[in-house]
Amino acid sequence: MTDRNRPSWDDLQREHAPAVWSVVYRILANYEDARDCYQEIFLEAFRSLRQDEVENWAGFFRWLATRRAIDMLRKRRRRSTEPLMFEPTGPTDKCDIEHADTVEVIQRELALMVESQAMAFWLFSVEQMSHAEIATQMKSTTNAVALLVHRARTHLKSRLRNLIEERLEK
Amino acid sequence: MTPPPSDHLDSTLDRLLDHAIDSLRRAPLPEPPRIEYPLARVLQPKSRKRSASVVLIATSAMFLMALLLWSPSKGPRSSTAPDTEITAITPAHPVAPKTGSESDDNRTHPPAPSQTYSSGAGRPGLILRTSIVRIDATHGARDSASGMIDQMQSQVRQLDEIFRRSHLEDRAQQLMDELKSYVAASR
Repeated sequence: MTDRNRPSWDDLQREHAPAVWSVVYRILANYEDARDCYQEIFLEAFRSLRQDEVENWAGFFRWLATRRAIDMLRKRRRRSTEPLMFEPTGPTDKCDIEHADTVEVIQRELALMVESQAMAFWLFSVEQMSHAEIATQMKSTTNAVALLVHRARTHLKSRLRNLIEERLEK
Repeated sequence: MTPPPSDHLDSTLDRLLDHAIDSLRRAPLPEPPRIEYPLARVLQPKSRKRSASVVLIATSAMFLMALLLWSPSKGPRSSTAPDTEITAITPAHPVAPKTGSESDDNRTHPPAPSQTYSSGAGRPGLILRTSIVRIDATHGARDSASGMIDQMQSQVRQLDEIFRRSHLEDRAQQLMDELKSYVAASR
């Protein structure tokens, strides 16, 4: 990519900052951690702007944000055994409490499952990227990405089933 | 027909998971913070490096320019060429002070005083400058040597004449002495 075709840093930042912030805050569920991660992502993206040839900046930013947020999530879990504090939205009846637990399981398991599975699951399910887009960013194939997403869903459903069984036993 | 319990549980888990994903996607977000320090962290050290490079290049260029523009007649500046040795070549025909009766046409133009120097540092700028000065010195020395040879040839001729005369006088005196001795003996 020539300098003439290279997008300006201001344009990239203005266009993709909301998506990056959305990814990191949803994964980390903590403003301070999300802010640090957000800054680091743009630092890395700035270096990529100078060095790499990026064809799909939207996909690149979402992939990079997901990767760095999951990295930070894993580091945070290694440092502390504190449960993630995600603020549930909506009314707090019995059903929604269970729903908040479900959200918490997803966030917790993102830090525990295989990293490539976690990334593929998040990018496909939450960010709604296609298998092909994810494969491009992860330098993999669409079939491999589909398999990663399937395994991640199976893993999460297994944890949800355990959660339900624990609740039923109580 | 009711689905088997395992299939029912699996589809329930799927719905539960999809619902949680949808909730995650629709969760309200605080305003994103300003992006400030990545650019500062990336750009500031490189800017400093770039500034240092510019200063170094400018200093080097000024140093080389000073060497190239250095005038041999004024002599070197001790701060720029501390290890430069200057040797002056004295012109063969010193210029006499101009008098009022002397016309410009009759005035001789001796070679301009040239200077050469040797540098132990071996810098390219000094080598270039040394070559220029040496060429100048070669022209001046050739003119000076030509005049000196003429002068020496003239002096040799004079000396030869003096010697010849002196030699003839000595030889005449010797012959005179011999003649006297012969005369005395013959008596």
